[in-house]
Amino acid sequence: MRVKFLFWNIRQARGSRLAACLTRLAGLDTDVFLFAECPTDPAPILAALNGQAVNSYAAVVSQSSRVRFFARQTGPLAGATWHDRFFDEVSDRITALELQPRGALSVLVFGAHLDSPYPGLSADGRAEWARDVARDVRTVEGDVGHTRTLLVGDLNMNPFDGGLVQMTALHAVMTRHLTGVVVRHEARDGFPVFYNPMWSCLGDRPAPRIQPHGRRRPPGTYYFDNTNDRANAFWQMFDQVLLRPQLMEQLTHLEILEGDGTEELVTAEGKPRANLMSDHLPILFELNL
Amino acid sequence: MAEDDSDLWPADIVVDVVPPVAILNEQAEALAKKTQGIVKGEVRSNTTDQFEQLSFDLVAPAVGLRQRILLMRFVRDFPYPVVLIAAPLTSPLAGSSGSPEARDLLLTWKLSDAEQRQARLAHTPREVRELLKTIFNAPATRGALFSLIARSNEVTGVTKGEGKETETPQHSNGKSGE
Repeated sequence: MRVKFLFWNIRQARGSRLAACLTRLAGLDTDVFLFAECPTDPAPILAALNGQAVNSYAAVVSQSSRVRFFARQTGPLAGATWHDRFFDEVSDRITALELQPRGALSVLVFGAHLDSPYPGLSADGRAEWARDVARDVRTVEGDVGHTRTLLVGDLNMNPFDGGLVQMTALHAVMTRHLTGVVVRHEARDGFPVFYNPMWSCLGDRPAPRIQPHGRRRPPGTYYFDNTNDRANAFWQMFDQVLLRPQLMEQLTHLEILEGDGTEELVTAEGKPRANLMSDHLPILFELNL
Repeated sequence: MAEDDSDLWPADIVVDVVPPVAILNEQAEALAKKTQGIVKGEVRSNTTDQFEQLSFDLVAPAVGLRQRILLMRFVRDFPYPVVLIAAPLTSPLAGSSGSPEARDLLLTWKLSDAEQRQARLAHTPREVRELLKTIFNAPATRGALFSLIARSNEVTGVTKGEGKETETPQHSNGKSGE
């Protein structure tokens, strides 16, 4: 069964056109929406998702509000159950849910929203939090007894940052081949690896199609417009999905969305329309479970 | 009568001092005993360049649920003072306090924004125990505990009547450890 997931930092739903956009995305048969910075009362979000006649969505119950899940009640996940596996009431950085579809093996889904660098948190500091998260992921995997795991979220780090690549942190490598290589390194023993397909999304090439006005695909998911910072890469790939090797071959599609089929999520310059939608772009991916 | 000033040290200095991890392990054992193993306390430790951090999770093995209720952080090799971080604690940093504890928490302990709102400093095992008692008896912790027990009982088919021993607030066992 092919299951479509969409992750988006929706910035407290402040975008004036966001609700209409969510309604349209729900009409495209997305099976699971995962939202960071979801408003405390998710009712308007759920109403927006159910504002179309094709699909019906329900909020997935979880103690954690870090990332809110909304699941389609029909399609491949009809009759699926969700189990809340972990809640960290001290830090609440991740939402950890086990998805048990009918007729398929269960999958651990971690929704993460890690701390932002902009209050002055250093790259080392963020890597430290990533280490904590990686440890919690391993703990929950131990609890449930498998590693069919995906972690998706606004990690506030790029795929090349220490918190993503360091062995003791999320240990996310850029190719599927490498996941088989690094596990044979004695020095990395005890630190399971993630495959990070977001490496393939960095930059504007290769573009699956040239957009009007010569624009290419979104080079990242967030644009940081700080011209005083001489090391600023401007485009950031803060929003990422990571897959354990047991799940990585099931990834059948991944893209950063720049439109909902009707309306653009980006400006004419290709930057996120922060005031109308969100300052982040959503990532859409599909797994063949 | 003249005061004896030959010993200027605090009166509560003793030799049977235990580290924070021992206190947590002791409480984990007490919880498992009280809940007949339905809910266990699990202590995990990790070390960074500067700090050692302990976490305490409530774990219900029958249903695969885990809930973290507190963190402790101290400078490596110096288990006291130790910072306890837990939702039921009211941090001096939550207000506009300029107390010495607030300054110490802010300058020394590398707390995240979320942690700053729920951190307290303990200088002795006795203070650790007092803060743990506050955390364990807080409504949120008790609610989590009862939820985990109820869920486990649902799965295992065990039902018990009211008046379970777990409804009695947990008290310190009286050991000072100091």
